[in-house]
Amino acid sequence: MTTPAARAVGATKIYGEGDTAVTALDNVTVEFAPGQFTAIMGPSGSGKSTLMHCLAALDDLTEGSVFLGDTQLTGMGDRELTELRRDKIGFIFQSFNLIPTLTARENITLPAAIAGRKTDTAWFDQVVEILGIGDRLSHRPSEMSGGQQQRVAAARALASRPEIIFGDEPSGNLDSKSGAELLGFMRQAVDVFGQTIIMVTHDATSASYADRIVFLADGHIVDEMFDPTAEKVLDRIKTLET
Amino acid sequence: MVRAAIRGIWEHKLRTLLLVLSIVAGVSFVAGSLIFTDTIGGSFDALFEGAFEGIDIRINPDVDQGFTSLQPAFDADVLTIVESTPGIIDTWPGVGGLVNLSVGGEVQSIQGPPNFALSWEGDPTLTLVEGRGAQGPTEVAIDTTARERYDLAIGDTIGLAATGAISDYTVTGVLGGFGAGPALFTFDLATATSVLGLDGLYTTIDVAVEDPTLLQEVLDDLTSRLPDGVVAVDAQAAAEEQAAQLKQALGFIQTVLLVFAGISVVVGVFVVYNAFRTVLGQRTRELALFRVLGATKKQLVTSVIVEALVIGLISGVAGLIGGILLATAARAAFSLFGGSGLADGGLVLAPGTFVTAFGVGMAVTLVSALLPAARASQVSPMAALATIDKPPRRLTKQLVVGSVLGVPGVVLVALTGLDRVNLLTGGIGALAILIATYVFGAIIGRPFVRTIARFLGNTPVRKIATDNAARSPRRTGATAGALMFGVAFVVAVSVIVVITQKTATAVLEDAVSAELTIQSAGADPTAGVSPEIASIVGELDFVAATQSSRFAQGSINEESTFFGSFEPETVEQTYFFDEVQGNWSDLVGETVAVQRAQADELGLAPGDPVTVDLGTGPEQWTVAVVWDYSSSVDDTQGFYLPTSTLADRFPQGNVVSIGVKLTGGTDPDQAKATIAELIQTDYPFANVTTQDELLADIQGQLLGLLAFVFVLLAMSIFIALLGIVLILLLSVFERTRELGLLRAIGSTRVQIRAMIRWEAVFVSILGALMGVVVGTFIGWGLSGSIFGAGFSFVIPWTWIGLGLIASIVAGVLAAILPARRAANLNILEAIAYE
Repeated sequence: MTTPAARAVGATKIYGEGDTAVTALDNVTVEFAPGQFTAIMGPSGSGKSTLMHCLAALDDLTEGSVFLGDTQLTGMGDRELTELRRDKIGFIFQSFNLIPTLTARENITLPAAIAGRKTDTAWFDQVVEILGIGDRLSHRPSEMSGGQQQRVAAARALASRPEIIFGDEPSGNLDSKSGAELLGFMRQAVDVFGQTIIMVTHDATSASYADRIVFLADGHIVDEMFDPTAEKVLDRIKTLET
Repeated sequence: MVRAAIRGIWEHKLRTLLLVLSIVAGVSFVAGSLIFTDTIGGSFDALFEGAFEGIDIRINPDVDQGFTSLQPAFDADVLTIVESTPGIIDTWPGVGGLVNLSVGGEVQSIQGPPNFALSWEGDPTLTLVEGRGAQGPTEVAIDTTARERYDLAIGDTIGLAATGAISDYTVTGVLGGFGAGPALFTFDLATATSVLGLDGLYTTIDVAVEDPTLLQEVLDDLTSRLPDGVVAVDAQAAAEEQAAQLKQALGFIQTVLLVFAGISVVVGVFVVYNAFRTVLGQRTRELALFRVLGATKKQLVTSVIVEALVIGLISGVAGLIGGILLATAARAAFSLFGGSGLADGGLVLAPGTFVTAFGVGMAVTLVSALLPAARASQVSPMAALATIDKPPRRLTKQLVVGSVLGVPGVVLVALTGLDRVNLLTGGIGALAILIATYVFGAIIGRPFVRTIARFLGNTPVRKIATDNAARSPRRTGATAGALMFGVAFVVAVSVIVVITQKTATAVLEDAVSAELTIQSAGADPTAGVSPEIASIVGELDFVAATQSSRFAQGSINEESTFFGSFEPETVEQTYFFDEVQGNWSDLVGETVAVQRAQADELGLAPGDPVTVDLGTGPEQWTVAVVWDYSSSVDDTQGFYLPTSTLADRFPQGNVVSIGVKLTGGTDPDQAKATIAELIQTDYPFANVTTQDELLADIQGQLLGLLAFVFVLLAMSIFIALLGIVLILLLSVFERTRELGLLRAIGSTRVQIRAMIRWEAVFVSILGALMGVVVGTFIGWGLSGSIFGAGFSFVIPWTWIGLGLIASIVAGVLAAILPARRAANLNILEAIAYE
């Protein structure tokens, strides 16, 4: 069996102390296969964002450990984690993905630039072409629509050929057409380039683009589903909530 | 709303602290200046309270030069006139003049109030507190100031000399002196007369009248009898007058201090204004929400004003405390430089100081907050819903305001540089330029930062820093502008000082032919050296000529001026002249030698009559010579009298310097050693220097002056740096999400810190460069008025270079706190930040 792209082992995250302590993740163990598009779903407060943040080296666990490929993140210093995010991870957030003073091109090449690496021009062109933002490269974020901004963010995430891309409700702020386009591109990245993607969402339609869905509730993994459709997901959510 | 304002202050403690600090610095400076001068002023009052008690009238020369060697003496015959005036029961004639002191074989040289010799034979003006008065040629009685300052006691032997060789005197008593100011050394009248070389002359006569109610009659009577140049004054009025004069001098110090304090306050206003503007800009949505909820515009303004007033109040209190600390430090420094005895009591905290401190604190914040508050109140409720940043406003207003102020400012300063208008006009022009530059900062900021960045090469970190600095041009311009003020003043002053230095050294290098100079070893060059030294040194076989110069204060054709002096016999051997009109041999008696520039100004030629007043009334003199040094020399002192004439008029005065021309082939260093050896025993107060040493001395003194000005300006630069810290903190706060994103996608903390640091450095270089350009121009302009048109301009490159390096360092320092904040942001919180 191949090494999972990411995994959490006995992951526990507790916010606060004493009476006010809140357990966001409770002894979660989960693996994410490479080249797969996984959606993490769950109601608010289920711990889905916390799980993603910990997997993405943005937050640390109270107990347990997290691996990216063979690399154990737990115990790493800020500098190592930062470089890991820079070199191995791509991000697409719900909003405010781009630095407002930089053009689309500068935003896309930013991770490579801050790492002091040369951009792979051929790959850059390919990504830009797939995402259809070739005519927007010299624009600043304020001159682009929300859908275009998210596509630029996706391009940035792809441009550095990361081992894994994390999406935090990437289509949450978009109208349904733009959202569908964006998710379609993400699907394509997995199918064409074998990109690993983990995405947090609470929207059934968005989740249906994934290969696999992991359901979280109250800090536990309560279910999972392969090859989902929107209807199946909605049904499952209903049963989970009752 | 008021509660919301106060909570705002509390919730942004760091911001409030920095705002308060940038106001407090200026307020402290103002309060400190007031407390310091009030304290000294208070001790002046105490000083003269008991002065002149027991005497009713004092006979003085017309111009009273107080404790200097410039006090004219008058003929002793005046005493006969005074004594023969009806209604007078007692008279105490006296002499006084500067004296040099040596304790335990060490020449006492202090900066500040002089050592003063005078006659005392029980005159009521001074009272004995210990021992007895001096009698005979080897005794001296000192005052309490001298006792404390030089740690003397009855029975000690001290060396004293005025115009002659040094002699030893035994201390016999201590008099209650003025408690401050000059240290007094009193002899009996005969000894004082001989020490000071005032045979047959007096400098004062104190008088007691029989019936004080008839004082005015006696005064009138005396006035009609006294010769020209000698006046009788009401002693009590004279005491008050002297206190008033000292206070006037103090007033000048106060004005200088307040000018520098004012600069700090103005810089504070700019910093606080900029901060308020930025904060309110950031709070647009919050304010709009208040409007949506139904708050009126007036309520919005009120909330901002309340916030400003609270900050102003805190600053007033802290500024007062800071002022007391500053005044204490200033007093300590003052005592160190010889003002001991002055201001030893408690600090004087006048009610006016409280009012001023609070007033300035409140005014600064109110003025700074009013405009941003008014603008913020205009925010439409719709802004609460808007998510997209407003497009940047055009800078047309800046262009108009900057040009309207800047163009006339440049013209005025340029005219000053050509010496067409006076210094005050130039100052007004300079102020206009400074404000215009401040306004222009918003316009030139963006292209400037981009140019520098291009010059440095674009790394991604620097690219983002550049964009950030250019993002809000008004903010960047205003932040840099505050720094520009301090730097411009520093540069302008250094330009003037460097030109002064060049002028002074050019005289020595190009106009003085004498290889050695003998002058006072003390800190006060007007104490001078004994005129006897010239004849002793003149005997030496390797000395070709000596040139003794004296100086005097007075007026020529009713324009007040300082006079130098020449000895006509040796003037051509000891100076280089390019032009001499008339004959040096005619420079005797009541004649004047006038430098070309001043001669042209007054339209004088040899043989012309001029009116000269040396403090003893106007006299008709004649121009003997019109001369000029080589063209490289700009000597501002244009009028020279014969040395011998000044010696006759001011016998108690020493010569200020003796130039020594050596015979060909003599080594100056060897000659210096021989002369020093020869005169050391009898004239320990004289110091022989070579030209090189003299040059170094002048440079040292000017450096001292420069350092003093820098210290006074340091406060305003410090405030400007606080401004950079404040604005960067606000920017970091504003860009929280951006910083979070940068961290999320892999920027290291080091990179984030570097980003903020570069932004700070861009702003500080912008401020420093604007300051350098403006300051150099203003320095050039003001020099035109100070040195006259056609002065030789020097750009102080060294200082400018050091200033730029210092500003880069300052930018780096200012960035420490904001950079740390930015780098330590919690990424998750930052990304989620709204």
